[in-house]
Amino acid sequence: MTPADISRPISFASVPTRGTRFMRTFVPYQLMRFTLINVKMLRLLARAHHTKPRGSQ
Amino acid sequence: MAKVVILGAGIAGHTAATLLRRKLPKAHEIVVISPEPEWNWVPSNIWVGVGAMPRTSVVFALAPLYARLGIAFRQGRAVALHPEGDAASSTPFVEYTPAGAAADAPPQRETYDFLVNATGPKLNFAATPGLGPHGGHTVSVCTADHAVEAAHGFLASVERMRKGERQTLVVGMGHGTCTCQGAAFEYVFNVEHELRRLGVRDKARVVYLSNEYEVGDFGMGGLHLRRGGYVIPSRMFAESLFAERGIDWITRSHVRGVAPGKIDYTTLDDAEQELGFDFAMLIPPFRGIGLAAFDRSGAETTTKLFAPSGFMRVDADYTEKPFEQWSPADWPRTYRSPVYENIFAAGIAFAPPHAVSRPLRSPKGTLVAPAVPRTGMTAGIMGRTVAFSIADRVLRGPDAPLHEAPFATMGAACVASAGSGLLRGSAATITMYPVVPDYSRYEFGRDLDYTSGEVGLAGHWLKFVLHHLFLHKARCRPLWWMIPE
Repeated sequence: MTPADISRPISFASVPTRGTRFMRTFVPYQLMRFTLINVKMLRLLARAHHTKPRGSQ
Repeated sequence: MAKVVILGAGIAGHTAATLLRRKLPKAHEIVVISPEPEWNWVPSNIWVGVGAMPRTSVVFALAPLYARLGIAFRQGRAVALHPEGDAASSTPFVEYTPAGAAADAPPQRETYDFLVNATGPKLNFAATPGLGPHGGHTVSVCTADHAVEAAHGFLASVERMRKGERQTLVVGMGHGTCTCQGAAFEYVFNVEHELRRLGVRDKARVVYLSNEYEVGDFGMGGLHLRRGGYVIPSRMFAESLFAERGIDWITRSHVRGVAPGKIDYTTLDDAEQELGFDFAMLIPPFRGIGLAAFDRSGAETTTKLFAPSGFMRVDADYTEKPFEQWSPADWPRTYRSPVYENIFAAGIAFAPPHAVSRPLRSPKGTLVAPAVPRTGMTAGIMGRTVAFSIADRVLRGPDAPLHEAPFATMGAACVASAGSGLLRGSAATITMYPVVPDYSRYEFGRDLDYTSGEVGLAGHWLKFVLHHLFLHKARCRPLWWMIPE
């Protein structure tokens, strides 16, 4: 960021630290995140994506 | 023997057609009427639109697949419904104009026992003068062909940057009532990612122009996430991405018109603004495709079946009421027409009872109202639900209970690409439950245990896997039916 950015909305936003940016492309960590995101989506599917006949439980 | 006609072969229509074919014995007829000869995995058009993926990777021909499956395919555009038949017969039918027919050729008829309206939207570029690739000054990524054209425009702009010119690239929404902010959100990050990869980022100003009240609204009223000991709004999550990539954003906008190199827009405070551009991808507003409906006497009944937006009314509560009284119970559960028991609507074709984001008007009356997205995962689930309902009615009789998948209690997962590449790619992965916020059950409208967002390479891998998984499913390759929508 430079002084010219001060009046831009960008200067009021949070930005990731260098460590966060590194972890976003650090393959071992991302392999773990890939697994966890898939688990999260399967939980979502299990909870919210039933198609069932009206009146059934 | 029953005959089911499905209008449209997008995510909802194709899902309904293939599941019905799997459920019903071959003696029952399934007919798909679609103006497009190909199926398109629309979420990957984002990559086609920056030249990172060829068109052939996101489409395949429908006719050979349907011939293999035993589904009749009529390439044409549906124009009218006759749910009570006509003076000669009470058998309901659809009229459609076959592809390639002369303008004055009479429409063809297709009778039906059950009808699924899954036409998707009309891309209403005409709502904004100068918008769109058909005679306008902007591009789109809504279809595979549009995405190819967008890629040409983008790469031409890159060439100019390589010669030393500075360029302004604008991505966003072409009208105050647009939906599908997610597509523009993905596209702007892919554009920025490609600019960096091609070594010309320093020559470009990239601007995101949206009708959202804040970035991260996505037409869903935004969402809340747990992050670092706080519950934060998705605005912070989205703004962080824009700031990190050096992308400027303009929100609460309504584009009034586009001239060569200039976007004319207003904001909620009625400020009249101009934004110069060298390349612009603006999503158009959607409306129904303009199907008409007639009763047996030939009198027009379009307004009984369809909302003013042109989308089909289903089992939702369309009573007009103030925003504060909107409820998840207003949203549909079975997607069946309240007028005719054998007509269903799925995907974008159904009329939402209201928005999810609060619609706002400027003091001069300009409407800035992001519409709720109902594409992708939710469209597939609606297609499956109506397919199961129809299959049960065909096999078990007219009293078989309809299947339900309440829109309000669906969850959604959105993997928004922020750049492709096996080791350098990135995506924002967002899950939410429920789609329609329920403030009577959850403090922030949604369940924070199921609502999350993160950015990283894992999201790109997931988007890549989903691309191949859903193409496998759409092509009905082995065990396709086991892949959830």
